[in-house]
Amino acid sequence: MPTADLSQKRLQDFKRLLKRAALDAYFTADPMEMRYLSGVELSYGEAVLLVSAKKSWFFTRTMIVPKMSHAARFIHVQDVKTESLSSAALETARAQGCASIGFAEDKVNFVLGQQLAKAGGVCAGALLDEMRLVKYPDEIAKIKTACRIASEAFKEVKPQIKTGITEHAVAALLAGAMLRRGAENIPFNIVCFGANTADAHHTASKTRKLKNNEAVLMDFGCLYEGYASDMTRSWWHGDKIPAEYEQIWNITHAAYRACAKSLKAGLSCREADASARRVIEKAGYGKEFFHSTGHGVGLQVHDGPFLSPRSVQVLEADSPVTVEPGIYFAGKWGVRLEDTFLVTKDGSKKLTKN
Amino acid sequence: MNKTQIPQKIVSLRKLMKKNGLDGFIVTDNLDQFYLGGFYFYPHEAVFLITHKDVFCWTRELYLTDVAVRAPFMTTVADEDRLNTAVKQAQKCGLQKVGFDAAKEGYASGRLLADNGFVQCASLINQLREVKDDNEIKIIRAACRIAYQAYEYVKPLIKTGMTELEVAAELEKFMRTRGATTTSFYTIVGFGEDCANPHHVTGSRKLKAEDCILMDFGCVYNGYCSDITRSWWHGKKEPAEYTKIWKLVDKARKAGIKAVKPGTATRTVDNAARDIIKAGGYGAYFTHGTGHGMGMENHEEPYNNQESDAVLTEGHIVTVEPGIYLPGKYGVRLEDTVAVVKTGAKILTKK
Repeated sequence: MPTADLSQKRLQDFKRLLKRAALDAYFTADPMEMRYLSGVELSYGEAVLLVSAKKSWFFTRTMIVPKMSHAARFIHVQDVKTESLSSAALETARAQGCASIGFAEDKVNFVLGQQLAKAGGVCAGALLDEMRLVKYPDEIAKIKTACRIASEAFKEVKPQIKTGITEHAVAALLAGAMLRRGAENIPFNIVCFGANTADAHHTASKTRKLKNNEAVLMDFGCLYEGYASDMTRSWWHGDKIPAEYEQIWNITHAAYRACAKSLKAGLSCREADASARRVIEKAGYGKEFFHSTGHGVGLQVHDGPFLSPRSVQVLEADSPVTVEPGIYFAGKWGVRLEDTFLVTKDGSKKLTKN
Repeated sequence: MNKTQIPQKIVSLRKLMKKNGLDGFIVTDNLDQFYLGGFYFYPHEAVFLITHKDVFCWTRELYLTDVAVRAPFMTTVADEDRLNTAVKQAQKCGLQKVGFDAAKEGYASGRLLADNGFVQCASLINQLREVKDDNEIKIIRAACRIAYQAYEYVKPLIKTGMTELEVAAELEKFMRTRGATTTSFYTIVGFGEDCANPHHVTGSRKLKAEDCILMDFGCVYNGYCSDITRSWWHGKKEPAEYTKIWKLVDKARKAGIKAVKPGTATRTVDNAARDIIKAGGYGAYFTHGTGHGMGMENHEEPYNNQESDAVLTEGHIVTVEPGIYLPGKYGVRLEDTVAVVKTGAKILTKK
């Protein structure tokens, strides 16, 4: 049974946040913010959302109106004919007497930001960003499904990864397996063989074939009803595993486990990062672990909070995060191990399996 | 140090910078970065500063090895405070007028740049991206061929009882197996009344024995998009009105494609298709423009619609996609991607 869509509740809760921040309204043209507050899947440019204490409006075009049918009971849909959508929204805001209009300063472009600033715009991106850290039950259900799809797809594809197959062919098999299970998109799909495993954001090659006895790294996930999953697996293909690979794999795994074990509501993200980093540093590979330990997962694959040494955030319950330490030797190979976890009151729950 | 040759696209950008009186340009959009340097960074993970002498790149440490091999013409440095570093570097180089793309820069970062005396500019790189070179056209043709072949592959597999998502999965799997890295946009598969919604979100509706089908999809191949739409009736009892609107849309599509040639206003292309649908009595049910430009993004300049003032030139890639939507009933859209060539339009979405 699909969980009931809680967009309307989110919109209500958000209105309370607006009030507390002393804002008359909030303006957004960001597809993810709009989806979060309305449940409507939109592309950039298809609509603009204006939320005031009393009312909410979608400004859109005739061809997009049908898409909004289910949100229309709690958001007024305005079919804008020729004017730009943001101008129409700002006009309405003015007519409603909204003096201060919040907007996300990192989600509008400079041109629009200047237009907003003139109309009483106030930088308030943190409002929704912070609200989005802790997920609602419908969001958690979708992230769980996205994680299950990725896990099952990997289980199906792994036995098909044989000597001679290309990186891209593996990526295609995996994408197909996720799509067939109901994923609607594959936002990233990293497959690396050999030295490519040391390249953390490698693009799958159409010509690079898997040789016997080399390293494999796959970092992938999918979107399910707009929500992401993220997992990474690394292993040695062939039976002549170099002792050093095994050692590095074990260190990475120990770091992964230390961080996973540390997760719980109240822990600082910096400490969560440190719990993995300490293990790797102690083993002497601190320099070879050159990225942060993890990130939140939600409408974005890289959502907040960020488990990094620079983070000032604290983990909260119902917040899905990844744990993904890695050790890389340029020109040789690398190991990264990653799962998506749901932070709970007194621990965490692993959402990606296999 | 022997740095490999500067890519032609950076040379072109420098010419455009000169024309605009700029001695520096900031590039933060990851597709613009891919266009210029041939290297794909994740969004927000790199900042470029292009000067008439240098190409600076600040990025995350994890890219360094790969960039050194694939884009050796850049001076690439690991940096976690990239935009501020770029500002400092511009000062260090003594640059007088550094531009940034005001439509692509976020408000917060745009303000940081503006406060430091950088000037907001139009999307200079979009002006370059709009006109494709032969190699780009070749890649887009390959992307379109894959999409077309996916349609041919999937059509006979579609059986009564299948869901929209299942059909979309077959399309996408086929395209990826042929070399596509992702889709150009969320694949639209609609059945029945879903076809009347031009931007329908593919769902779990099952195909009935007598139903209409609309598929609008495309793939990304070597960084470039394709876009194609096909509509047809599934079953044997095709309603007379469906046949009528299908033929009308097909006539409009052909007229639109015929209108495409260098020197023609995009508005004229829109009119060519729209007039036919209007004359057929369905003008009010054709609720969108006739098409859009395409390249690394699925929607680019120029747009074949009434609001556009653009004129087609050789090297433009545009879609022609008229449609008629009867709410609650069904809809038809037919779309091809075409290249503007000397003699007119060359259809890319075919075998």
